[in-house]
Amino acid sequence: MAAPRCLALLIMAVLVAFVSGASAQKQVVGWVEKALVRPGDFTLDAKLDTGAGNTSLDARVVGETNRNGRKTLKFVVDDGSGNTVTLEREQVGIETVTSQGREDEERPLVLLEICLGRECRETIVNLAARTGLKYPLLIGRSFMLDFVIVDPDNRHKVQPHRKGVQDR
Amino acid sequence: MKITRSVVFGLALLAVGAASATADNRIVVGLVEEVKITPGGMSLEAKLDTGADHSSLHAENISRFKRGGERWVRFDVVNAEGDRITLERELARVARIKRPDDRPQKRPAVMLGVCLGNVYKEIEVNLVDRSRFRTKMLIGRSFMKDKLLVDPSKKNTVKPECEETRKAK
Repeated sequence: MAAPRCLALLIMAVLVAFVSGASAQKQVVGWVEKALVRPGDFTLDAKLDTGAGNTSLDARVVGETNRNGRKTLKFVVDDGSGNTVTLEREQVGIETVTSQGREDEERPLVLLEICLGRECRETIVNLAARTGLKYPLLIGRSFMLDFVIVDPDNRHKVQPHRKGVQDR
Repeated sequence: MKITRSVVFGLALLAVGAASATADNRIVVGLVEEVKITPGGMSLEAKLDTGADHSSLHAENISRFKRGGERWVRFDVVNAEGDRITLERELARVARIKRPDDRPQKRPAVMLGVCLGNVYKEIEVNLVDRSRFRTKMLIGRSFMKDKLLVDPSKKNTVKPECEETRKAK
């Protein structure tokens, strides 16, 4: 009778080791990293902000078109080194952003692919006219969930890998 | 059989332990953790905000006064459970908080002892109205320095247990 119980414990131990192994495989990244944004394939300095729910990109909306009830936004991103990138993406929603000491603000949402370290993920990004801030991209928790641990003492620990290109 | 079982159990514990400590002895904590502040010993839920340089705390009835020629601040700290304490601290600084597209916000800042897990630090905390927010304290990077990493997928991984907090009580 003791043998099956021991086996069960062993299985549990393996499971626990597996689960904690998976969490150990989360990438530890600095609180500022280079992130690759697609489409456009450009890199931006990103601040990893655990205080922010979603990701937000400093962008200037310069136009919108409506076709079949779908709104497409045209927006310009300044990459911080003097270059600008113009993108067109479908607007997938509106986010109301609550921040300290200011009124709630509505920001348009688009889907972008962001690569950080070894991971690329498509994520919802709100477009903010946040000119005057140091980092054009703020990466929030919804992007970091389940794969990132933030190191608040260090910056630039990883390089963005394009899936299938530099990776493997 | 008993030995095998305890060995297996020990190994499992080791595996769990290894996941939450890093080589340099900093510990990984979650996005939201309970902290205890000194003086007063009030427990609060705090959010670990890697986007913030410094820490901030929800305070009510903030008033300034002079004591022995120095500038002091009196304020109430209220946690989510509705506990309230009044603290009096010397004004450490008037913090200017940068805001996009807006003028900097001025907030009184005081020194407070903060205990998170077994990490105790006396840090500058700025006082602000966070009544709109569920979490009444934000912990910035200056508290985390050399001690903590943040896993934004986790919550409430440690309890505040610091020697300094016990002594002050």
